[in-house]
Amino acid sequence: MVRVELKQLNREFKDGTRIGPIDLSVEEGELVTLLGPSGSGKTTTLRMVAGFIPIEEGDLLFDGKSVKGLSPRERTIGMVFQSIALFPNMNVFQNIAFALEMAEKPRGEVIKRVEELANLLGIEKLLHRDIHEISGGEGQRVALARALARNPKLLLLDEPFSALDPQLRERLQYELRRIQQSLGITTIFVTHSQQEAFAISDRIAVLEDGVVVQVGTPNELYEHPVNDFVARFIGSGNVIEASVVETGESGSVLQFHGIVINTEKIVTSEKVLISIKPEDVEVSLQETENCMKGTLVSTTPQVGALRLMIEIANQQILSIVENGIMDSLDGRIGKEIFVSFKDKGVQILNQ
Amino acid sequence: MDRRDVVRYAIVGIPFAILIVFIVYPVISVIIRGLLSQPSVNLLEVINSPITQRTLIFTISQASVSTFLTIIIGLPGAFLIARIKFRGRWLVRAAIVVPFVLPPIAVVVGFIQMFGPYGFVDSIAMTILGTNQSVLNFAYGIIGILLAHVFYNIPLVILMVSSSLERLNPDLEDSAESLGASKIQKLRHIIFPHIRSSLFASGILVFLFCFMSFPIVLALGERGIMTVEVQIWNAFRNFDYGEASALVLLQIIITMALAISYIYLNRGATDSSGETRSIRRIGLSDLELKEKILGSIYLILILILIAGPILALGRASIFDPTTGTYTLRGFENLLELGQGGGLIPLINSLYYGGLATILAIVLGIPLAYAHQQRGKTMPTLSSIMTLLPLGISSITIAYGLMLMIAVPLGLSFNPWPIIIIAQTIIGLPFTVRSIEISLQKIDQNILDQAESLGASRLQKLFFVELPLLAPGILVGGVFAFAMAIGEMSATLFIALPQNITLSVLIYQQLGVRKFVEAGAAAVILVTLCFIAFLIIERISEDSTGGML
Amino acid sequence: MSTSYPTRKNPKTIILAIVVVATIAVASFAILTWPRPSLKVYTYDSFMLWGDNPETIDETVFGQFEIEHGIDVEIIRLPTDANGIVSRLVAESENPQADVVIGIDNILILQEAAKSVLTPYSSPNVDLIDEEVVDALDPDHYLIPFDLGLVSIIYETNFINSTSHPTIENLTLSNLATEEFATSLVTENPHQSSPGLAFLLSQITIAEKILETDWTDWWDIVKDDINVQAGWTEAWTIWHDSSERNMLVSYGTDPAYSSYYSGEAPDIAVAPFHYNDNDYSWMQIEGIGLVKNGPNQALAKQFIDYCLTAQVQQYIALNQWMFPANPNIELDDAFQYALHPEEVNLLNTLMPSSEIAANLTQWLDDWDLIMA
Ligand SMILES: Nc1ncnc2c1ncn2[C@@H]1O[C@H](COP(=O)(O)OP(=O)(O)O)[C@@H](O)[C@H]1O
Ligand SMILES: [Mg+2]
Repeated sequence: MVRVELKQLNREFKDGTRIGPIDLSVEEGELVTLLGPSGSGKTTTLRMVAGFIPIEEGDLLFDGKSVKGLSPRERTIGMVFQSIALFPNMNVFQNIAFALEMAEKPRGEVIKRVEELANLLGIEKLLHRDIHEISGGEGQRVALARALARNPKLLLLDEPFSALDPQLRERLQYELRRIQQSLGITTIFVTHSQQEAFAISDRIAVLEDGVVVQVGTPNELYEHPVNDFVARFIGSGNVIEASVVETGESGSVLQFHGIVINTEKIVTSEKVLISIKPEDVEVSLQETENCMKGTLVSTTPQVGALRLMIEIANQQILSIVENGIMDSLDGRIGKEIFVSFKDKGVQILNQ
Repeated sequence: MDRRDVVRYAIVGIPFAILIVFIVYPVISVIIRGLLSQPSVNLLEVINSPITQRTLIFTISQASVSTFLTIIIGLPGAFLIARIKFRGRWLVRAAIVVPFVLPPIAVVVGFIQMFGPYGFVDSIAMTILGTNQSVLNFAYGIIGILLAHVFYNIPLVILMVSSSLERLNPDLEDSAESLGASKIQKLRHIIFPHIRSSLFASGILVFLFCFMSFPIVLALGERGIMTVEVQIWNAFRNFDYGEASALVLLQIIITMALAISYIYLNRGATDSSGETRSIRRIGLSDLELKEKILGSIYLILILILIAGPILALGRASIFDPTTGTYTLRGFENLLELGQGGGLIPLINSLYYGGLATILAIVLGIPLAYAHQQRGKTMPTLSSIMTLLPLGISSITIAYGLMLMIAVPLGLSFNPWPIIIIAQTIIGLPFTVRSIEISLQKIDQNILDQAESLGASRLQKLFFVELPLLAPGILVGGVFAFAMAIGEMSATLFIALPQNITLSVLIYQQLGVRKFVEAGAAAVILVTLCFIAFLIIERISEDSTGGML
Repeated sequence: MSTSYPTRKNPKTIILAIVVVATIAVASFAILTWPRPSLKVYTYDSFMLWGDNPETIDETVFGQFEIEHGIDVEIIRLPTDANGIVSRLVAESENPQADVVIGIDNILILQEAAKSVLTPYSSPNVDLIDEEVVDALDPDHYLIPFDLGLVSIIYETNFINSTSHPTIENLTLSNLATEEFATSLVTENPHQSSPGLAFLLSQITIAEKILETDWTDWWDIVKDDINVQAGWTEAWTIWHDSSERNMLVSYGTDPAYSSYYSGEAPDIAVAPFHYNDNDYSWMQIEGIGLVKNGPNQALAKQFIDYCLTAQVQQYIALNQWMFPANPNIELDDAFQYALHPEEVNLLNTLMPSSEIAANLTQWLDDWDLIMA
């Protein structure tokens, strides 16, 4: 397996759209996800790694060696495209066997390898089918088996599951992770869904407008988003603007409506963006210490919890509370409710 | 420029070079030689002469009227084909292409038999009026020319417009209707803007073909009615190479202007046409009575106009008008060797047509790729190159090929390679177009996928691209074949007796009054074309429609 | 199970196979069609094919020469007419392939282009032919007469005869211009057909030389009534099929042809023009000539000599339906119904060649303008 480094990768399209600079390293056997909204440059980055888009600036290293001059076929990668791109003129067997047959491997070896992969992915019954005779989920498995056939050093997956229904998607995410780990193959995965990224990644790189804004494990991203974009995109919480009341040697004091927040960070500006995770937003029906008044807009039950949407001065704040704590909330939609923050849950965001 | 670019330019460059050697160079040489041949020849003088002026006016007006009629008569057909669900639709679609690929000389025979004096239509009129004098003659003169042009070109309008109609998203129409648009409003604001560019593009193509019309005008035009093409032919016959050159120049200027506007319009057409899977079709039974009646009248008219001449041809192949008996002599003759026998021409037609088809495909694939290149210059250049043969008189191309290629190479006495080239050139625009359409449908990701899986350039081409292009190649090949076996004007000039093809044989046999033999040969040509189109219509559903 | 998976062929093998098959096909076709050494005679498409045995006619007529000289004679009937042949010879003039050409006539030879592809050859056998005819074709012997015919108006006697139309016996331009005759006449486009051109020249000669009027007046009168077809076949078809069109510009031998094949007296007759108690007609003389710089000049000359002898000339009447250039040939009985050259004054003699050569283009242009 291979260790991949993207060093200051840059790409400028004719119309001025700019992707990069991108710095990222993927360790051997690691699964790193490029996460970002549509148009943030994920596919472009992946295609630069694959070699379909020439690298204009920066460098790409596999195990420390530059592969900039190599064509896609020489990079020994396996790639699954957003559109799956199965060969419509071949059946399932031929699709999976394609890479091996192109390399003119002996027939016996080809058959053995294809059957092995088919077993791994649970598609052994489909080998004789035509491409238009299989379902979307089966197609994804075939595409994956095809990409894995020649034992690539690096697996590249571009939103492979985005067209599938949520349940199938979850099952395939799980299978992909299982196979990736059992093969120990270095993988770069692209998605726009944070749920998917969190489900399968070792580490995640968040892209915004062609730039990597944060790299970290899912937990790191969740707990410590570096800016409001990450915070919002990861869904880790409410991004709100607080005013700075006081700044001292050991930290600052912030205020959001009636709530006073103490932080160890030293903030010099007058206002600051903070993020607070929903589970760190507490509610009560009575006024308590260090709280503010809002209006309950909606309640949505979740597994073991309840999501509350609360409006405070034209701003919506999300809170998640454990079930059973407040059975009596039902009748209170549109009525007043009191909100407070757990201090340790507040995260100061970079501007 | 890296190595891949070099290879790419080389691959695109080869067909360009071939077209330059076999069209541009011979034609330009002929023009220059002609202009230099008589020092007295003055371009402006030829163009300003009353004869040229008159010919030009006639050529343009007959082409305009023909185009107008073709569109008016073709439009309802396009709607019927696109919108009505009925059994054997595919059969009708295949049959519609046939007139367009028929050899003009066969059309002439069929037309005279159908619409001429004492022809089928005339006989009916005579019976009704109880006279034994011919009362109707729609085959000769201006009416005949116009009818024949409509017959010839109606497939273009029907197929191009109907395929554009099929791409119109039905949701658009539904939403217009739900917003309260009347039928007329819907037609004006939704349907017409959608089909406009295909309508104009087919119109330009029809105009171009009518402008270049030669055998039909020659055979059906009475009293020396001349198009520019006929005048060029006359000038060549009278060895007036100066006049011929001047006229060819004039012709090229006009046709290239048309070709460029066609390319321009067509680009618009392909850009805006998303594919919709959910084509809106109504069953026959859902039609209102009024619509049914109008539809039936239209169908009968179309059948008389399009099927009539072809069926008349069929009858001509077994009915000997001089003895008034039925005979299979014509078909037997096709198996005979020797003087006037049809076997050699049949073999020649198949052999030349087959090789021309292969050549057209080999040249057409890279040219189609050139059309797909980014930017404007390359696609425009290659489109013009491929449309060139449609806009230059075939007699000029034939003369140029003979003079500049065959004679210096000593091929004039064994000129079959030159015939194959001439036949290839004529079908090339259609081959390129249909391959291009297939090419547009290929997902670039699939090709990248193949590359990422380690396929070499050749493996990618062979195992992925060519199989995906296959429908387009097939359709293009059939068009190439049909155009090749129908070609007459250039072959006639280049061929020696051992090289004549079925088309030329028909022309010759008409010359010695062997109507049955000519009819039989024409029936074989029609059948070959028809079978070929049936096959592709079956294999590749609607590829022929978007063809042009 | 594993054996049933589809396999892939090596692309190189397939390409190689295609290339090999194509090469073999092309090569074998090339070998099959490779030209054999022979004496090549260019002529037009229907040359000598109007007889009883068109399949064997070349063998019958030229076999003797082949045996004597040990060479194949290839009669190459180009799928075109004499103008087309000259066009081809002009195109080939830098590398000529043909040796002899038959079929260029006394009007076409007036064109510079026609002379430019021929070499004059005064065959010793030219004596076999009337000097008058030889000179009428070409005094410089670029061409020597091979056969000849009279271009005249023929008519169907069932519809037109001396009883119903007495003027047919003494046909003049003015009675041909009457509505009755003009609406009955079919002719050919002079641009595209040699009888059509001969008819135009007949008319011009009569108008300018006998009547001394402007020839264009006549066409102005008849242009709406007469029927002009592209070629002789088209014209013949109209004439034959239509009961309104009973007069055709054709050849004076047509009644003979009709009688020969029907075995009866013909139902068509010839109407030469009639002025001052004389019949007038235009004579078309088709020549044989030596191609300039042809590959087998010596043999070609011997072939021309041979063509003027009775061995060839005897076959002309019944296979070509023209008169043999050699006047000593006995003609079939059917020819009693034909119009013979001796019976008429030749319009050709009234119109000097130089005048035709100088004015032909202008005349054709004028004709086009009138007929528009
Ligand atoms: N060939 C191209 N030419 C111009 N702009 C492009 C091209 N390909 C992608 N882009 C632009 O680059 C940006 C990133 O695209 P992409 O990498 O496809 O995003 P993602 O995969 O994250 O949705 C987008 O703004 C897109 O419009
Ligand atoms: Mg993408």
